[in-house]
Amino acid sequence: MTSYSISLAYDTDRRSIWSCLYSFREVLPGLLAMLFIAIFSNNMPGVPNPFTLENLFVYLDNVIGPINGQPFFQIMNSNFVWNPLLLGLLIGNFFGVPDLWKRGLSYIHALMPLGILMLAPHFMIGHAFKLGIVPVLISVGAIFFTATLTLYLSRLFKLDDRQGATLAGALSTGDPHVCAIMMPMTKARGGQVVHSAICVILFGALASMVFPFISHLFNMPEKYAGFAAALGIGNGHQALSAAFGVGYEAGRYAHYFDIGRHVFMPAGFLYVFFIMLVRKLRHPESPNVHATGSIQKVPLYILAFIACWGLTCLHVFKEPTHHQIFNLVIWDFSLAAGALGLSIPFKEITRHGLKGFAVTCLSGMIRLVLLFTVLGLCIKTGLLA
Amino acid sequence: MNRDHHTLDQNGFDYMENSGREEQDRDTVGMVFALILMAVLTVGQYMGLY
Amino acid sequence: MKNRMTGKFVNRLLISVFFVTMSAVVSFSGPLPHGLEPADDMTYLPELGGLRNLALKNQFGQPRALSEAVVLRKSSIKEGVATVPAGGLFYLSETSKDAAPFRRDPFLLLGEHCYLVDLKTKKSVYENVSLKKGDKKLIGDSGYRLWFDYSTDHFEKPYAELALIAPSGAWPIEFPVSTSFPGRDDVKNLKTGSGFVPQLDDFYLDRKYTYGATTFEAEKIDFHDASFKTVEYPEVVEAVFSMHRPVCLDVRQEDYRFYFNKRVYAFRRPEGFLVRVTDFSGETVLAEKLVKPVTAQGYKDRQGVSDDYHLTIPELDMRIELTIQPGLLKHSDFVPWSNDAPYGWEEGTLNFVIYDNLMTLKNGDVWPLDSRYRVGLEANLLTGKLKRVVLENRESFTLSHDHPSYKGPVKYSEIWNRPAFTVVADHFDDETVHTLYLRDSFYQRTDNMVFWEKEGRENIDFFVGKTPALMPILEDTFLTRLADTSFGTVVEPSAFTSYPKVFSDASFIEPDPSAPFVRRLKGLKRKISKNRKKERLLSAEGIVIRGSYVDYKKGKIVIPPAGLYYTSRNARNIRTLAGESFLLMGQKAYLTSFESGTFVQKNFHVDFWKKQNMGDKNPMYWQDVFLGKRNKALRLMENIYLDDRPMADLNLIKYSGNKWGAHFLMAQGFDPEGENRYELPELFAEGATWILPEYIGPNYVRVKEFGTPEIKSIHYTRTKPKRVALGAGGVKKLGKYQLEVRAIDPVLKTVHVVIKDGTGALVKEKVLGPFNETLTAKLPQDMASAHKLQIQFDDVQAELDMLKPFTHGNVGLYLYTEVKELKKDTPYECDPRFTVRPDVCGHCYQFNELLIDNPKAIVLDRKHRVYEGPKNEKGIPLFKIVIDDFDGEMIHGWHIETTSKGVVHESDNLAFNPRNNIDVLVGVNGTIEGFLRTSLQDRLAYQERWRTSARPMALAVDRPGLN
Repeated sequence: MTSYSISLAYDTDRRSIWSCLYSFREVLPGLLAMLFIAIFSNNMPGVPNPFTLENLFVYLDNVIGPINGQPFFQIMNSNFVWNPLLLGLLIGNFFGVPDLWKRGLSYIHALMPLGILMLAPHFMIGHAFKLGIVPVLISVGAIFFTATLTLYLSRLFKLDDRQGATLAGALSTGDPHVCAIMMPMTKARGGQVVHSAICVILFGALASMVFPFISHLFNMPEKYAGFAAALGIGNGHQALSAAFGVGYEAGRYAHYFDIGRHVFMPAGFLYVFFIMLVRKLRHPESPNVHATGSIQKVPLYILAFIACWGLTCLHVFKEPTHHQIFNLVIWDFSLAAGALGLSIPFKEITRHGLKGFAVTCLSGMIRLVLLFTVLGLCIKTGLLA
Repeated sequence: MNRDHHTLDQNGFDYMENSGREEQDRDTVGMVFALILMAVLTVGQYMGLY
Repeated sequence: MKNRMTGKFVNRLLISVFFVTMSAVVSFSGPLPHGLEPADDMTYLPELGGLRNLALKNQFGQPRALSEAVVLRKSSIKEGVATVPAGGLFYLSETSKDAAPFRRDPFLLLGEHCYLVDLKTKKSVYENVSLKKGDKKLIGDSGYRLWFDYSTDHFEKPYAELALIAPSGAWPIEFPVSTSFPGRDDVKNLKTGSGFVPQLDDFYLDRKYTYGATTFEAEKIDFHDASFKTVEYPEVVEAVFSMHRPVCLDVRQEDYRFYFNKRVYAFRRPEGFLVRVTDFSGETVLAEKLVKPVTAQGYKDRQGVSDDYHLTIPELDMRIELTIQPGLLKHSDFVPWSNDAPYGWEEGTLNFVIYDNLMTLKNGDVWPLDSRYRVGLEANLLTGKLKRVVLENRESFTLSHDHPSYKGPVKYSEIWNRPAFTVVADHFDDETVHTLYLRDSFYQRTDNMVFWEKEGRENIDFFVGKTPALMPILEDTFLTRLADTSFGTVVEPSAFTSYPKVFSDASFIEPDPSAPFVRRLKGLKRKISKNRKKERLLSAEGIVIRGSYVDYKKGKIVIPPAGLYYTSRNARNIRTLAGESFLLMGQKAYLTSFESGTFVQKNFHVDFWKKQNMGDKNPMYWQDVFLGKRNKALRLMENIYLDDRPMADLNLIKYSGNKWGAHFLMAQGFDPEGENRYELPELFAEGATWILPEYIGPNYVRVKEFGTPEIKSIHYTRTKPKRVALGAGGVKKLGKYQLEVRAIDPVLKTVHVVIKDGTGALVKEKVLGPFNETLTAKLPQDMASAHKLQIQFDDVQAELDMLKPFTHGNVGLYLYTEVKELKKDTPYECDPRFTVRPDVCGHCYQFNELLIDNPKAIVLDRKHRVYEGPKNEKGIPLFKIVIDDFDGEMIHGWHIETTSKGVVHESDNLAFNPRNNIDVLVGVNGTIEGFLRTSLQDRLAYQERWRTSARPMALAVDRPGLN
């Protein structure tokens, strides 16, 4: 029986939207697999299990010692998405995935929109305005510019458009997680998602090493070197490591300016999605068009996300709510990432070659140089004090 | 479709396959759960439950 | 006379410079650096994985906060080699109260959780100890030092503040002594009424300071020298730890229990149980002893008594106690290994408690697992029981590029005894080091303790860990450390909850312990001036916001009444008749006179409530007893049992939220003749503050009589007083009046003066003096005596020059004009939105601090972003509060700005990390120093997170994860 016929079978047996949840008996093993992967990967909210991959990494961080004050595994983006994904990858590749789990693992497709939607309270645009108008404009400009540039370069390099879009989303928002967020929107394959994340993380790690040299080359004041790190490198600890490599003030301000990039992240990934959707709708038959797959119109959950984002900006969600919802996001993405990790054979990741990495590096470096140029100009013209 | 043993079970069910009506249902279910959870947490906070 | 807190502050710089020099000399001339602190620029890091910091309970369920640290002191670098003297590197383990036998008190030894099972102590008595001001003098060969911190005066007679410093550098309390005043017991003879009564005639300060197991009896206290008849304090000679949890077995009377391959019998006797240990078969008796069951009475760990309560067999590595109700499953951290209760003993009330893996530590001996280290056992000076264990290097060692590491003491482990830590220093230049870190026994390491790597450091001193001993060790340097501008203004993020704390009135409360501290802001002055005796006086202004909160449901920032205050304070109290000045709204003002008296309250209760129930480091307020209106509040801070007698630790809280420096430690019934091992006064008297308790109970104190100074008003002028010398008949213009000297009596030392108005009519007449010994014995503090030398009318005043009153037939007078009054609880003349609150010294009735605060709540929101602080005579606000970014719930940007010479000066963003209040400390004076002191450890710990922009853990949103 093929999956096509399975899909047909679903349509035949479907009674309501809840049919996609199958029966409890069918999905329980898979759900338990996800649960156990999650609670042994991360210090999940409400679970006091100390034997987690996260704690192992923290221990190793302490053994290695901080780099520019930042923990090594945090620089490598260890977090609640990549830890379970890594554990899932290891289990899937070394022990296989029992058939019994697979129905339950399919919940990943419900968990993704669920998680994306619950991310909305994370991005209150008003918070960025403490930086002032010019930094906000530069932040927004950097996001859209990077997304466009990466999409353009990936076409130039003839990269699979799904991977190009995933890279564009992640690089422009400065957050490898966005690779996972892009997955249901671009219909990227699991291997592409992980490959893209690796590209972005590796680029960030390399860029944070050369960042201090570029900053000194441009003779950038430390405060704005921090700004450049937040926008040009992103990834939290990577930006901090890069900025602290320049100096203490730069590090402090990288932390401060990060909010400018952070709250506009949805703009970045939605922009990429809409571009890819429009492109797909314009060229439905083109053999090079894969991104967004069978999506014909903007999915409802995206619209709901935009609505919730709006409510966030109107300050409907107070901080305690925001924290609680974010705890659920951690649960959601941890479960989903475990299932995603299980689904990917190693060769799926490696077969995408180095083209993606080349695009990431090229795009990232152009962004960085342009950012320094723009910041330099703004400082000269007095737009930035 | 060429799927490997990671995702495809012996009945031909591929857990990473997501299309058609099933995809829409999954999206909707996810969205409904998200909205319910967010609404409950938001209203709960407004009512002073935590 | 000087207030304790402010007193320290003025001398801080000079003293620390003196000590650095002195201690350097001491350390290199041979003796161990016992009792001395690390270098001023030593690195403090709060955390390293292998150094534990946790709270455990003993068998009575009493919590004990245990903490460990590694400290390095008195190191130096020369020619690329760092040298650490013997005793320079030490491991420190500390318990929050103390550890004693028979309580199963937990302790940490190099990361291992163990129990103190036995303790041998002695009382060290040193006679005829004398030292000079500033000295940290070694007492005998004990490693303890007596520190003469500072001296000050009352009625021009000296009293001194001292502390006894343990070899680790920690000390629990500074104590005042004097040999010039009536002792504390003399307050029993006071006959005062209730309410506001005149000043006391005398100043009370005892020559003997008793602190439980510690006693200091002064022989002679002078301004520069102090000598003590006796200094007595407890020393721990030997401590035995069990490195395991004990095995607990229910007693089977007249029968035995198996303990591994041995039998343990219990035979009932009238005086206890005969405990017998035999081999497996019961044939050979290995040991036996009559043992009394241990119960909770405090005296049972006394030397000579404690032997009755245990059977210890060193050769079998066993110690057996009999315990009633060992806390099985109740109030205990653990379930003892206990099998089923025998027939007839279902409750299991009598247990053998068998400890093994006994480790005996002797003070001054080598650490049993590593001969390179020596053991130091430090007692709690109050209770005489174990407070700290120190392991220090016996021999000096060096670190260099070729030998970059030095191993710490070998630790006990169930699996593998190994060095507990390693100090690593590398990348040396001639006189600097560029890499320095500490690695623990799990191979985890700290960050590089050379923060400015390029510049390097000239020593390798550090303190890693979060133990309370840090606070006294940092006494001299904490202010410079917190005021370090190289990290900008440190702003700790708030935790946002649905129920932020709300204060309806901020009187008497401390600001948020995480309130940002702005060391300096132009426009707020900090000046040194001189009085008539040419003594240097430091005056400093500050701004404090306390109790502020965000009402997120209404989108408002609220500063409650008394939540915003301007504070002006000198480094000591401000005296009249001395031409002393203070700062008032950025300008100098001269104190002309003050009105103060004593507030006495009789027959009331002070409740003991466990501290910090609201979690904001301010105790609850309904247990506070307010003494006078907005004067002081009395709190029962702590309750300690000394041999089952409750000891009360009462504290006076000032209106500003500061604690008064002195602790009122009292306990009843410790008759010095009764062979008590503790001694404490039954009442408290220091200066003009006294307490006569009726009853000190475990949950409350009934006070028979309590008295403390209260100030009603002060007079000041902006115009510098002028000295004139007038003969009899001399006339001088005094503002819009004329001052005339009618007669001078050089024998009686009196001066007849009159004040006439513009028409020549006499408006005031007074005979100043007699300026004789009776009068000077009460000067300058006694108000009535001071007034005898002053004539006041309307806005003018003249006073006798105390230093040169009569010369060549003339009288020396100081003339004051444009005198104004600042009366307590009245609107501030230049800005009626604010109220004047002068505060008084608890010792001496002198004007201590000027507060100007808001009587009504201040509300800010997105539309009302600016609030102007109190205005000066020209109508210009001293400062402005400016809210830059507020979303109704989180404050993302706010600052304080001042204007100086037409230029606006802004503070850093005080919500660099989002805040839910605008509490702040601006400037440095005694009040702000007091707040910093109470929040010191948390501030220093956060400063380290701030340094690396470590994610604030308070916010779930900032968990490592989605960026």
